[in-house]
Amino acid sequence: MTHPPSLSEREALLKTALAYFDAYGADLARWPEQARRTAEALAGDARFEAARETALALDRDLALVTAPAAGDALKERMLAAAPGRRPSQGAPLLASLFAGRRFAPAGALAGLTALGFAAGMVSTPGGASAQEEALAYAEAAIASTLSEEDAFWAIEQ
Amino acid sequence: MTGGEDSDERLVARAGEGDRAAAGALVLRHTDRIFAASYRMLGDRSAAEDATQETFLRLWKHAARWKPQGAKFETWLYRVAMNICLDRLRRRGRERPEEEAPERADIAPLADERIEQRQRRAVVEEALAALPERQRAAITLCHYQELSNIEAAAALEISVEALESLLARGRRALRERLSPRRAELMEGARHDASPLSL
Repeated sequence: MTHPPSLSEREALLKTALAYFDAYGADLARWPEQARRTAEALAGDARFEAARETALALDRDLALVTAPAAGDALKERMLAAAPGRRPSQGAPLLASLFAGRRFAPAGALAGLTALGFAAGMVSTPGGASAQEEALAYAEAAIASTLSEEDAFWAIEQ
Repeated sequence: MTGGEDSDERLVARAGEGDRAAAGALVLRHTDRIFAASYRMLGDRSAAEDATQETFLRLWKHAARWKPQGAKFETWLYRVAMNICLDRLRRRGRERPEEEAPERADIAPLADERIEQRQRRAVVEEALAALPERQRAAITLCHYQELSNIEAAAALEISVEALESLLARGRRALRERLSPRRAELMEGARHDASPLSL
């Protein structure tokens, strides 16, 4: 808009802005792009600022509620249930740790997976291959401990 | 694709072909967000874990023939998760959730938290839990998961206008519930140096 809005235009803009505060809150970054331009035209308007304060109070309340992080055990279970072919090679050393055992010790399995996740977390954006390699190692160990029936059961559950 | 991370769509295609490394990458990339959204919908860790796991089991089941169909993969995944959560809430018979307060005990290391902040948070959690399910879903996706309005509407399979209506009604209901307790909340805020209190 290249000229200041008329009184009636301003009223219409204000009505629109109040609806956006109602839906999206005080943070204009959450508003649709077009609506942000409406807000710019109303900056400094007393009713607009009052509505922003009201919305901000609710935003602050909502920020109090946090969600916990998903645990590694959950990720392990989902990884174990993923369909796919068994790795035919790779990670023979880790796989051999559990050779002849139907189930890996829980701590060892968690540690292995944590190793895979940690490798993923420290990898740079360009380090996808390192992350995949770590995952493949963890996967190979998991696969060596699960029978065909276990995997099928997990998928069908 | 050379270097960089694979797109979700490419990983899903590979997972569908049996590539477990691709499946692992999807788990790493999306579990936290899906779990957080499920937790905010269902109100306790155990139920959120079940819903997250079911979401991924459906992904594994459909990965081989998954097609974008106009939506981003993540939006599709949120849609699956939200449908699972809404279905579970309905099955729980929680049309009036305020009658059955959700378990919210494991949000953070509560032993280290100040009592005031716990109380303030509990008040807001109760208000959120009391919202009708779809209003809570809209606020979860837009406010907490920071999806765009188009993505959130797609995840809930509604129009953007309908999403905005859910958001506005939800926020209004929250304000009505929280306003009478504003003095209590503000009193806690004055004594709390946590960055969450802004």
